[in-house]
Amino acid sequence: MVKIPKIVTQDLIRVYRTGKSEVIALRGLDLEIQDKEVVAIQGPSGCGKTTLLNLIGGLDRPTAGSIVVDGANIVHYSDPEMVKYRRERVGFVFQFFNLVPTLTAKENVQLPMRLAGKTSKERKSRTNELLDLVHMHDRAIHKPDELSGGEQQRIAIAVALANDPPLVLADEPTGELDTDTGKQMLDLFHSLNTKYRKTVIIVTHDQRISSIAHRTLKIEDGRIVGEVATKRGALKSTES
Amino acid sequence: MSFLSFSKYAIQSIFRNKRRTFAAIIGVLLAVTLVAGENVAIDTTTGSVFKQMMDTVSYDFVGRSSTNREFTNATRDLANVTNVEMVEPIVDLGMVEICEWGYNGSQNVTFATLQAISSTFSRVANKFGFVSDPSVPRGHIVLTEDMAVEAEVSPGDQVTLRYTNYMAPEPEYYFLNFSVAKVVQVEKPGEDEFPMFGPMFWFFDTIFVNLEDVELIISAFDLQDYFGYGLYSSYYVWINKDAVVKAGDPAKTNELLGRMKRDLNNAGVPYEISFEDSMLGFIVGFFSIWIMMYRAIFLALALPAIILGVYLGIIGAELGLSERRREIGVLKARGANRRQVFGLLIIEALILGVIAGILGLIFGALASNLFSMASPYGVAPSLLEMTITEFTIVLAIVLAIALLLFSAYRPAKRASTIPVTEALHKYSEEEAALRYKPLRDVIFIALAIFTYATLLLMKHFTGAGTPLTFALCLIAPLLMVLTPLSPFFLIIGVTSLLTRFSTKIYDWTSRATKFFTKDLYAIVNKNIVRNPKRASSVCVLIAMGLAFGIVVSSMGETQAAYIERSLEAQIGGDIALVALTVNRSFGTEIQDIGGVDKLTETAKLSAISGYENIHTNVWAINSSAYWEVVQPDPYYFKEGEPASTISMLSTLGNVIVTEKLAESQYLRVNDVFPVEVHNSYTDENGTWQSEEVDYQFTVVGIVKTLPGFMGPDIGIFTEGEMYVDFVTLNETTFGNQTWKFILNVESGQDPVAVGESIRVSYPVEITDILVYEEELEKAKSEPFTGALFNFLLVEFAFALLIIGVGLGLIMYVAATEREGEFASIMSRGASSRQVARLLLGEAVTIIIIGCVIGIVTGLVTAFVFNELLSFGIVGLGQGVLDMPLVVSFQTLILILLTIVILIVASLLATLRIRRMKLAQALRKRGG
Repeated sequence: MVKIPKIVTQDLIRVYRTGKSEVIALRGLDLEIQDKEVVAIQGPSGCGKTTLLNLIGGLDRPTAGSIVVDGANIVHYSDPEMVKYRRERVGFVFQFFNLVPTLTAKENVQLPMRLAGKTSKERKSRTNELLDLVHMHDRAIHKPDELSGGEQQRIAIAVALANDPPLVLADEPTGELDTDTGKQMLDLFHSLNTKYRKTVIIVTHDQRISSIAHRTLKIEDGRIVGEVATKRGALKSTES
Repeated sequence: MSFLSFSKYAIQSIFRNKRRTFAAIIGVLLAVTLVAGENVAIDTTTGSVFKQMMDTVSYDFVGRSSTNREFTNATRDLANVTNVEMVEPIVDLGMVEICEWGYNGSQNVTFATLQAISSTFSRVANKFGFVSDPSVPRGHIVLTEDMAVEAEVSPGDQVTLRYTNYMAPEPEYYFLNFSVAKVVQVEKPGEDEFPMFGPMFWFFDTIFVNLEDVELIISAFDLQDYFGYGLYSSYYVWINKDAVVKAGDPAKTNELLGRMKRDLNNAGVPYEISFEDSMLGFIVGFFSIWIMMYRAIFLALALPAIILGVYLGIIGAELGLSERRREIGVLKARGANRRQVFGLLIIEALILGVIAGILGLIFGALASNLFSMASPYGVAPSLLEMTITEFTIVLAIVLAIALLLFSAYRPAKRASTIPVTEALHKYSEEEAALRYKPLRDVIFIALAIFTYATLLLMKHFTGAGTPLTFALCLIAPLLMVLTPLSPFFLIIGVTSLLTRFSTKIYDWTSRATKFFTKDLYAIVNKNIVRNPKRASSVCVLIAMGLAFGIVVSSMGETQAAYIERSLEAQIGGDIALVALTVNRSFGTEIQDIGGVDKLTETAKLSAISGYENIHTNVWAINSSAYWEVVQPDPYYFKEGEPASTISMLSTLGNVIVTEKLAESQYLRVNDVFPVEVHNSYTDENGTWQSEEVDYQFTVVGIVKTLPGFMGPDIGIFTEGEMYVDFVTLNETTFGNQTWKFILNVESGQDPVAVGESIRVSYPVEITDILVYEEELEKAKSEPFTGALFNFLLVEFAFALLIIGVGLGLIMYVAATEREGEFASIMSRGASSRQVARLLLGEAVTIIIIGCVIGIVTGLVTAFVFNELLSFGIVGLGQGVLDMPLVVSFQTLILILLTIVILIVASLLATLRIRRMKLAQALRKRGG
């Protein structure tokens, strides 16, 4: 059986213009990611990792090229379609958590559901479920600045999963965390894939990612320059 | 390190962060623009009026000599003095007579003053009121028109002038023949001019001769010895006023005029000419007092805009501070002490003050044509003739510096004491809420309530000698200070207490935004309370601006309504006229004038009323005719209904009395009291007669006044009055006395034109005529009141601008500060529209709170101030008519306009969110 990739990018180019100077972040990047795959993206600073994640997540639009997600080229999405895409099909986890500082942990988790117009009952039950998942029930009424970095990141993951998106994108999710907490985060991402069947793309420098990713893509100067199959990837390949 | 060690850093900070600089100065800049603009307008318009006034002055200096006869040399030497433009001598040769020999040899003589003028006199003739050129050739005379009529001479006639020497033991007569060259007309100066200055040729019969004939006349009339004994020469001098007279600067003008007077006296020494002080100094001094008074009044009226500007300045300073917490933390971490941080912020405020002052002056000057409609001297001619005095420049800059220092002081003090760790933290929310101490606001509210309550008590419960009156007298100075400040106390106190003591109000109000924020309304409230001080300041700003608009609008309309009511009470119909030396039938003559419809006649008599011998006025009216013409509104009637009460006057002995009389005589309806009516008139033989007749009157109604009869509406000048029918005054003689007629014009007729016809038809008999429409127009176009009201409207426009810019600015800064936060919300699926709605929800919540407080406090303040005005602000007592608060459609429009402007300002601020680059915004946060 031929596997239909979940995400395909072709000739992806992104040029930033700042005044008279231009920065080429992506130089015709081609990529395929399968459904329910965990892919790690690694590379030096400024190589275009975050730009790629932003483009796949619908936070930015490419200068040229296509991004096909589940058969639809999201580059052609209108603004409202892009909002819907971000709201329903993508969950973003950031290095600096990006939680709303005035809202409690629980309210932060509820926010994407409010945006999606979910009922109060739906919101409540889903929030409880997610807080259980990230083991943060007892910290639900605390505001972000009352939580540790690890706790904030757990909440950020719960926020990302609020509308149950099939795709989770994480940008340096362990960058701000200590070793142990970082390990716990990676375990959480692993369970998202294994237990909740999410496709996960993680940009990270953390070498422990190989334990949960199916493969690792190496980016340099806006292009994919290599791919390393991990142990888990090889195993998956064998299984299939 | 010194207090000033960061000066250079302060200057760089101002010029490198233009948005923050704009936020810091905009409030003060707008307030200073208003003050500077109004001052430039006053300077410009008064300067132009001043020039016109100067032109009406006949001459600038006059010097006199009682001995000199070297007129030409003296004139030449005086003309050589610096800044002298013209000199004209006039020689007074005393009284002469024009002799006319009768056929029987008798003489008819007409006295006149003989004045010699030079052949160049025509250039100044108009300054002395000559309509035509009075230049007189040698051997001729020129006469003023009245003189020619009196002496019955015409141009070309030969006349003999006779001079009589009364100093001789027996009168000695001298004769000289002249030919009449022409007759000239001299006009009396207008009321606005200065008729007291200059020779009054328009008043005295005058004969003019040529200056070169003076020696001949002296010789012929043997006047050699009389110089120094009544005869003298005058030297009228005109100067270059632009160089000497400085409008608005009496000290400088007096100095320059004093120097000119000294130079003229020096030049006049050889001729024994002595110069007096110029009247220009007096005019400049007089004018300067008025200008200073106007400046003071307008500056006081600008207080609301100044306070709004300061408030916006404080908000701007705090916004800047919140942006710079990290910067301050870094400075402190690098070793800056409290004094240095405080110094940095104060130096910045000082520099910003200078910038705001200069910009305010420039903007004010550029907009001075807008402000000149709010100048008591009318609209400025053009921007090119703009006058900016040193006073305005100093005022603008000092005011701007003072306001910015005031705005920046507390935020700077607070910034300098923030602990380093806290300053380096991203932000410490709810810090402001925790620090709130309600004492100040409770005191503010208490003071405002105390003031308002006292003012209301003063109207309703004071009377001569009561303990309350005594207590009010004791606290009068305090009340004078508190009254103008109370609205501000009330607004600041109530708003701060409501919005900072508890955050519940935001919770309740944000629910009102649910219709567009949908499920996000819960977040709106939480976002506002993250910085309750800022939200509270914006609420104060909105409330203050709106309350000010409501007070101005409603008081303006109340005043307009009062003017209409007052004129109605004075005139009664379309026209009221007072006529002397006519009798009752004069009314029928007036009625024959085209356009006059119904008319009623009245006569005013004086009387001693009651047993207390109180003086009062009695108006005799024809009750049925009065009803037909006037038909008074029930408003005037305290006891009784208009139609039936007036009809009751036709019954013998019935009377309507005013409240004032009823109070002083303790009268009620149906009371009977004695009245001794005094009357004086001229009988058929032209003999003056007076009579006193005793009556017993029965009160059938009590009124404020009856329309047509009200005098000045000032409490202490209000006299008790009563109204009776001519039928009742059957023993009083109505003859040739003072009558008042109230009339209406026919439908479609112009009352002003009809009034003019009446005026022209009976110029002697009619001593006073008031046409309602004319008087209303006059009252509305009264320049000073009009200017005040226009200024308040311009100020309200500024207030709207300040609150609009204030809210827009805060929303913009909020949008900028929280860009990362909004980006993270959007990354989780919020559309830019949802985020904009969230931001708008916050703005609308604040607008609702500010508007509700503004509307309530505005209406309360307008009500209290109207009561105060109605009572008489300078203690002149309650007038006849009251001033009920008028809140009209215009005020509602104004409220709506304010709300619309605020929402538009918020919407503009949310545009930033729509233009935000999501990935870029997230990158700033390190995402």
